[in-house]
Amino acid sequence: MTENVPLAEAPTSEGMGIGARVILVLAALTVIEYLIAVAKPPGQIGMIFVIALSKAVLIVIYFMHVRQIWRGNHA
Amino acid sequence: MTTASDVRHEENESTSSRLAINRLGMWLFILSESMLFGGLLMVRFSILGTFTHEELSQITGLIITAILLLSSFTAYRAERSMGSGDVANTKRYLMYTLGLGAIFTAGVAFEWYEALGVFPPSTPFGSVFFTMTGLHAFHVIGGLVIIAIVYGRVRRNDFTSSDPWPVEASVKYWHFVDVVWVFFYPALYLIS
Repeated sequence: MTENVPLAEAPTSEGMGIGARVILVLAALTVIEYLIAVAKPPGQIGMIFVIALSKAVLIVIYFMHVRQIWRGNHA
Repeated sequence: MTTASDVRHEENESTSSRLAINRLGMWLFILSESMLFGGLLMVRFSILGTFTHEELSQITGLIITAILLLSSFTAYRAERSMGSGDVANTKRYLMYTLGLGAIFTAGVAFEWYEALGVFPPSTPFGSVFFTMTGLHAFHVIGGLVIIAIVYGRVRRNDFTSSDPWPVEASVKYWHFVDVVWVFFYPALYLIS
């Protein structure tokens, strides 16, 4: 009989806090994106693209744990 | 002489190595899917430039985007709960994810219903809009089916914290669907 060794990162309070912070930042960026689209300032396409890219990077790093590929379970 | 401790160590190493291979395979799958959605984004800009239809409901777009982002958070919590062996919370958050995903799909269906009368698929904007949202919605529905299957198996205690891969894989796929929408939402609704 083998022991159950958790392979994924345990949900420490820090881990939960990171998830909550990331979703708040994503929400804020989405609102900013929307306001830019409504206000239509010069260069809005570039701004919206940078915000979309930032949101994607946040999801890939913090929610999808892309760093696990090269750092194992410690990412 | 091989001790019980050595056997356990070897088994853990083998499981870790299998998990690493699974993760790499999942990322390669996600990369190949990204090509498809990236191509669609290119098509959107090459056919329409920066044109966006004024009749497109900005509020609906914003609401369904918020719902999908929130579902990514609940999926993240489900994965974390599974990692610590908290089956009750894993089930709860997977159920939230399913519910939010279903609301997102209903929102897209409502958008389609509204859009069909304004810019049908036979128009340039309509063809781009229905293709992009349709293909994305198809992936969302696929993700919902996968998460529902995983949810059913978590309920039956088929997975443990030592084998979190099925939950992790379904959640990773769900996040990918969210990332695609992060680009599709501004490309269809905001840029003009």
